[in-house]
Amino acid sequence: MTSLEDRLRDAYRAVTDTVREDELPGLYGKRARNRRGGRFSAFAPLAAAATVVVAIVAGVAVPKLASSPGRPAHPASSPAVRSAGTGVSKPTASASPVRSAPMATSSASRTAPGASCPTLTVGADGSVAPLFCADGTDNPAALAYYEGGWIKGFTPKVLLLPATASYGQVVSAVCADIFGHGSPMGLQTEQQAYDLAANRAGWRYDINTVNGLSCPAAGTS
Amino acid sequence: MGMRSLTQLEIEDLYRDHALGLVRFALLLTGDRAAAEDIVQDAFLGLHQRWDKVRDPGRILGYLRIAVVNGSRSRHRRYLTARRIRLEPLATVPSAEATVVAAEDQRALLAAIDALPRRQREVLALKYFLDLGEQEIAEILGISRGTVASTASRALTALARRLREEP
Repeated sequence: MTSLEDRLRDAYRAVTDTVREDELPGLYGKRARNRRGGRFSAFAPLAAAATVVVAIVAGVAVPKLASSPGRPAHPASSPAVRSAGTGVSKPTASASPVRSAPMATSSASRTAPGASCPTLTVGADGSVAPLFCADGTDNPAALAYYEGGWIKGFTPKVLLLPATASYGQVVSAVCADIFGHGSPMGLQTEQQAYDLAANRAGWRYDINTVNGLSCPAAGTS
Repeated sequence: MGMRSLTQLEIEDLYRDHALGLVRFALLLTGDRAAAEDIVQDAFLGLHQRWDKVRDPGRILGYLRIAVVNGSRSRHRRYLTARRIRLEPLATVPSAEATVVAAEDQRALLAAIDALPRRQREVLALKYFLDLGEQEIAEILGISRGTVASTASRALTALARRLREEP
């Protein structure tokens, strides 16, 4: 062994000792960098194209939504997980893309903040509970689950939208999430992703994948 | 029949066992603590999603190391026009251990490593931080054992030359 090799090991140790185990984020801990901005930029062309489509679609979807059973004014007051349904319609799709659950039901979020909702349960269909904490905020573990791509590595586009997103942009993102090529999002999981995004952003668009949402036939993925 | 899926609790156990070493390894490759943590989280997410492709559960750590290398490369490409990686020793951490002030020659060595080509940095980190053999390094980097040996040799030569050139 040469002196240089020894010095290399020492130098590596000096660098890596700056990382301590007790400082590491948990598996579901905060993301170290803001991924939302970077990922959203990748979808910018899609969003731009989809906006055109949505301008047409919104005219059809809004009346349907207005007549459907509305969600609570603020989803924070509704921590219950919705039941799955089949209300989403799309001219070219006949089956829901719901896939097998990525995980067995178990306890999670050992490092997630928010003591009022410390346990995340993952259902067989990939949905999670509780979605919201007792104080009405998004359950950090649930948010990390969806944003972190726990469902087949897929981050729902609806969670990448800025708080200023229009109704049309949100509908477009939801449709793209459900019907996009290779998307693993089912009606239930997408509804949850929307609910989290809506709660965080303060949207009151009453989008409900269960009770009916019309999506354009093409151009959303 | 397919393999059973990896449960969330098993992933958490794996994370608990290996996250520290992997984050440290990723730090050497990226020079960025936050990016290193992110890359390792991504590696574990990827492990869950590709579990059916990890034929030998005994090779999980190898798979994770490959994912870290790939994640570091991917990040490097994204930030190619940004600053080069910069490794910083203990002095940045306010702790008792920080009293062990890194010597100036150690800083020079880290700067010399920083200037090496990506593959040479990877080989050195795998060899001298993780203490892996040539075969393991070859499998992680997807190159031959001979290339590992020659790359390591060239890297050491380059480091020695650069350090001699230091005033």
